[in-house]
Amino acid sequence: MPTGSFIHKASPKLKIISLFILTICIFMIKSFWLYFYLLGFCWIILRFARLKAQFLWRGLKPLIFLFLITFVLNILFTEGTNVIWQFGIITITEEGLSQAFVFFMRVMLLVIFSTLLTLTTSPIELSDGIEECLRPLKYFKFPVHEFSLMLTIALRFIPTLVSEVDKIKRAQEARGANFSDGNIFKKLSNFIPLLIPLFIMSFKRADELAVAMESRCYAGGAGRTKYKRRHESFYDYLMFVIVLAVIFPVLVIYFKSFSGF
Amino acid sequence: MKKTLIELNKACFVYNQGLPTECAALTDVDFKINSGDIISLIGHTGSGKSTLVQLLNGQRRPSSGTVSWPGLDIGNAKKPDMKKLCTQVGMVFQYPEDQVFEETVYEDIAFGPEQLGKKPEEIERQVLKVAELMKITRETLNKSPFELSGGNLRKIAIAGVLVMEPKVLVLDEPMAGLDPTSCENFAHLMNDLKSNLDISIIMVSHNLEYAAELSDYIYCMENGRIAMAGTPREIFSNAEKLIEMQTGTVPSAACAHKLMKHGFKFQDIPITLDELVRGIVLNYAK
Repeated sequence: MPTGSFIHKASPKLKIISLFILTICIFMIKSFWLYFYLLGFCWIILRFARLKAQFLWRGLKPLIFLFLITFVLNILFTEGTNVIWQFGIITITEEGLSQAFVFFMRVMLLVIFSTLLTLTTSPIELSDGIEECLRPLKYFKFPVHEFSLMLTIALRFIPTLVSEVDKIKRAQEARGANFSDGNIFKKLSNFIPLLIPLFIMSFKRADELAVAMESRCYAGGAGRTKYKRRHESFYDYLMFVIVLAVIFPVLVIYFKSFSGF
Repeated sequence: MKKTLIELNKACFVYNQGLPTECAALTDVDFKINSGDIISLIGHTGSGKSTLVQLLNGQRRPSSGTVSWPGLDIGNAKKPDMKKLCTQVGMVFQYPEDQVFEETVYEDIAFGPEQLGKKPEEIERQVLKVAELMKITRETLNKSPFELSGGNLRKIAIAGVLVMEPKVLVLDEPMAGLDPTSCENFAHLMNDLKSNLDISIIMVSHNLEYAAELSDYIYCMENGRIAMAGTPREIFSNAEKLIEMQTGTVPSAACAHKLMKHGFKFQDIPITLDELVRGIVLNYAK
């Protein structure tokens, strides 16, 4: 969702690294309050990126069911001593509750942070950023460029595929096809008129893309230069330092808990 | 007396409503289709033609305004039976050859009636009827659709829609990417359909020559509104407006306008090649 804010313009490489560090941090936290601290951080990013909370909600909505199940299972199956409530075989303990809460918050924060990344970074920037981050792996003969190209192509063609599915679905519906009725086997066979044209078109497109790339003399990543080169500016690093500063307390508290306090 | 089959009343359509990418595609469109008419929709790319035709078979609902189907058998008029509606309004999308999927041409054409649960004999009758109408040979019917050329494949796809025996046939740029011969065949086909079946045809077209030749009415769209409507002669007489809307005009009319600057006189602006020739001959006869 481009809004042109400075978070959108920030270096994708540093954004990905920040997400990576934040992910590690999320798993270091054990205390209740620190989760709200990070949640507040999410809110601040959201504000600065000039995004509406409903975009985040759209990312979270499909996962709500999963969240609830893990929450309930954690409550029910965590063993503990401080029993709060007991009914038959159902026992709810304090440990269970806090465990459930911790898991819930962890998964939610993970989803929120990664949604924030994809909302503020275009797919092209994202795969460029990933390529930059993976560059060191080149020394281990990992095909970094090919990997990022695959990622770019895959991301690039998601919207195309979606609009194609939509188009073919409409076309087949106009011929009386039905995609919702019937039992599971009937439903699967209903999708054949959708899938076959989709496959045919994808193969055709892959072929066309290959020819188009070859006719522009594409020959893999070796010695290839970039059209748009991105250099991290002072502000990019400043933002990265701010992120580090925000998570600093988390680290301090984590390591303090080892040193006997 | 002609029956009104489909009527749009102040129909608006907005894509991605409520998102930052919101985009109004249609604004206050009034549009009417009478039985037996051939109607062409022309207009610059992005003027809302394709969106308009997608409202006609109920697959998209207008954001405001109404679409009604007074002359069609659709069950309850307030809450139309979508399946029935789809079969009453046959929709041929852009590049319809992409929707073909069965192993043989016959099976692909038969897909529609099969989905409606018709009896095998009935299906066979319908498929053979449509094949005859569209001059698809027996031999072709047993081929795999993927062996056919683009133009023939498109014919099969259109047959797959016509086999439902719709009252209204909607075609979204049916001639896009066809060679001149296929275009010519297609134009003949449209005339055949009109004379052999009781069917109304709506075409989105960039090919103004065929639009002028085939249509009873032409609607010209601009920025999601209907900017001009009328018979082909009315539309193409107004050359300035057409150029302003970037749709261009038919070659015959353009030629006549140039000849008029050199002292030629035409009673009516010629819109087909034949009319142009007749007009020039008349000028010399004087």
